[in-house]
Amino acid sequence: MRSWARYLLAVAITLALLQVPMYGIVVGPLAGGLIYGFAPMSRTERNLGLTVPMAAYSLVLAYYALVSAERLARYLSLFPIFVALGLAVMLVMGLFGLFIGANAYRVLKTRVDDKR
Amino acid sequence: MRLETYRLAILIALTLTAALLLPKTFLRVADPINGPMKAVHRPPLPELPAQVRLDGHGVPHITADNEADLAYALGYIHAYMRMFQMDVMRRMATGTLSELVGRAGLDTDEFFRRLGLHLAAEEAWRAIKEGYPEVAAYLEAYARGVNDYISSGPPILEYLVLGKRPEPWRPQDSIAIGKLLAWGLSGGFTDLRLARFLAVHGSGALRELELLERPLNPPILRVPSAPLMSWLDSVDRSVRLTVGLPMSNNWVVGGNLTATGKPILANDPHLTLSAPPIWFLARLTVPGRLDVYGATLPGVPLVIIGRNAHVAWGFTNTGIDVVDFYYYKWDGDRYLYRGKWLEPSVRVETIRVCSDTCEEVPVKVLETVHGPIIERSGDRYAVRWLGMGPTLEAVAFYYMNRARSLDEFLEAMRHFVVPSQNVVYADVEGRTAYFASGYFPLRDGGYLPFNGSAGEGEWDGLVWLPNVTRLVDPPYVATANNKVAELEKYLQWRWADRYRYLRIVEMIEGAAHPITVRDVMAMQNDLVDVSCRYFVPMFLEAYSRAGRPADVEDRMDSLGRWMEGGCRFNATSRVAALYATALLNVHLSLWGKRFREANITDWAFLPLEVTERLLSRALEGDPIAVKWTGDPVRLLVDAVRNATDVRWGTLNKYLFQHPLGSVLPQLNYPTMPAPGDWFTVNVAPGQLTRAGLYATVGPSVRIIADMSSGALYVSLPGGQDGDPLSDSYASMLGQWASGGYEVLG
Repeated sequence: MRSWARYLLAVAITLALLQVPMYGIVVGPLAGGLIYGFAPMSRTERNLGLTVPMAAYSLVLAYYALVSAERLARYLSLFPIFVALGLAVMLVMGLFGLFIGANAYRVLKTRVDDKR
Repeated sequence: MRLETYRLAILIALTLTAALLLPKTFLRVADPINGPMKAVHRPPLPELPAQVRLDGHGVPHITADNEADLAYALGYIHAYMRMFQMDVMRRMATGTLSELVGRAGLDTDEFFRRLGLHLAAEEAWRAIKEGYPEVAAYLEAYARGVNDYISSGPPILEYLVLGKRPEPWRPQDSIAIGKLLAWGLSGGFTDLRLARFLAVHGSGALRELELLERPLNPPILRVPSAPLMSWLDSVDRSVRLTVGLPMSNNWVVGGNLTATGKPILANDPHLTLSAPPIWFLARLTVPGRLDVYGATLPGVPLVIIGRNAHVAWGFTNTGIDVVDFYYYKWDGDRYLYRGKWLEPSVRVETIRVCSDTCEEVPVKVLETVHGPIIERSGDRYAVRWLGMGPTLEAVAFYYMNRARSLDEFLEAMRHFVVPSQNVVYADVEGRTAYFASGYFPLRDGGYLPFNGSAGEGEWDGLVWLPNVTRLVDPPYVATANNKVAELEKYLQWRWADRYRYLRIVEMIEGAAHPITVRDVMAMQNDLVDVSCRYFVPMFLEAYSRAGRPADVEDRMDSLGRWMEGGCRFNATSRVAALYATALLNVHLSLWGKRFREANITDWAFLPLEVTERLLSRALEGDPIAVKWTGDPVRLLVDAVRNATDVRWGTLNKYLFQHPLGSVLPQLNYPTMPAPGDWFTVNVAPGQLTRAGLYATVGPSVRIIADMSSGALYVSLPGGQDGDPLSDSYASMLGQWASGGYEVLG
């Protein structure tokens, strides 16, 4: 799969799993990172993986901005700490996902290579 | 196993650990989809079975074809704008706050469950359903409106932060909110504080400090007291209720004193300044039947203060004593009552305490013949409060909202039991009136706990207060929680200092021209503290007697000039701060240690008037007064010496707290300099804290009804909408702070 398609899929999966009550911001970016990381990639591509949770978060913000930019602006000014916390949790989980994905790929690839 | 596999296993373990270690609260508030950010997407008000027009500040003007649709629409709009606030209020009243806020609400819940406001609300609801089906239908329609809003699954910020949902609304909840407010205005535990004070400092203090007489305090009813003494004759013995004392100002000026020839009525109840405000403004219309507007309480579908097309009304608290405490001789769980050992009845309340999960906490409540038992400072007392029965204030307000004349208004007030209020009334026909509302339980005493075992303090019938405390068509009448009337019969012992009252009367009587609405606005925003006319001369006399010490010369001169200039408490005034802090020094020097010894934390437990009278007597050499004050000259001079002269507004500030404001301070309104002090008409009674003085109580709404037109001028400390993301969250705050008004009607 091409890297941009993988990227889009990862963002879409993150967004979809964000809907999960309570643990959405854990499982969403984790799964997104995992999907994006589960492939051979260059250093540049890997660095891009860090932006998956941020892209998903930005899409959520864009949705709210579309609904009511004024109310979103008020929310951001009242609760920047909640936003920062959300981004931080997603980033960390996305990073974990990315590493797990990359490692899982390597483990599987080694096993396949060994069998061959 | 290879290195990659180990690394993978470690990574997965680390991830799981990190995810499990994250507190659920973190996950909830950080969640952009299901967390508080969801509140950004607030659906607009849907079509309701009534015509709803929201003005620029979110004040709804609701017009419906019938009362049920009107109540439904108000219920929906109250919930839409104030759901969290009304939920907190009903949960406080019914002792279910812990379900919403966890352990933080447990003490409050336990207290109110013991008191039994929820039971009284249930009884009142049954009585309303049986006796007043039209009121019951109105309350039920309101509850339907609230519940339809709740069932639409609205994203409400506070609930999303707490991870909770509002429970369905019941008509009993509206009644319970009324009970909660009534309890708050009924005086609470002041009798117990007085008992502790007298226990520590001697029962002679009652006489020496003239606590029951307060001769300086002018009564509202200034007619000779003899006619009032016949009040016992008017006792309707057949009357049975089968079915941090807040302050306020109100006054009504008759048409003979106004520019239009019609009365003007003003009211500003001094209640908690909160975010959002305690009141919600609304206009409710059913063409041909009802057109009432003013301040409603979120959770209650009635205009509490305001007017309709015919009459207007306003309230202040009378402080008339309707709460009693009884102590007993105990033998285990049995108590002695009139020579017999009785078993108290037992009621077990179960409080649900919920954070992420819920636990149940049982509370065993004992009840004697007088009422439920509460514990205070290790002692057990039964509480008897007039509001504990099935009282019908909801019925009273329902009919007051629809009254067209004084007779109809008074007839409605017959249902009003607690809290006793100074009611001012005006109508478009030009009539004005005053009466103290509610009922008074007849008994001997009431300012100290009764010996319940000896059968003291039994209630012997009730007096309907408007029968004995009524003024009809006076040229004007003003009240500021001062004494209701001079009576030899005990009615109350807690009433406010006279200073606000004197100033209001002075402004009305001293008006150079017929009074206009603009004049009344200026009166409500007046910043003159009349107390300075009594205290500054005492400071100056003490200064003179002390040999005019040089270190306080400038300060004494400033105080003298300030008094001559009118004693105005502008936020920028330094002398105002000097005076106020000198007053505090005097008051605390006299009482601080004595209050601590009596375990009294309310530093304003004794009014300043008591201090004033005592110092005045001490300066005249009265040995009893000197026993309390010590050397009054030294006390007064030291008070000024140790005062501060910063700008008053940097010391005294308004504080508007949201129910979650202690953990989310961004939900509070901004603190702002508070002009005025404890005794100005535009009151800003700063509570003493280490960070300065914070006024958490103040004019919770200002209302002026001009009976020459349909206008009602209103000013709200905050905004209509309780949603912190709404542009109406605090939209009227600036206007309120600067003394501005909106016109309703």
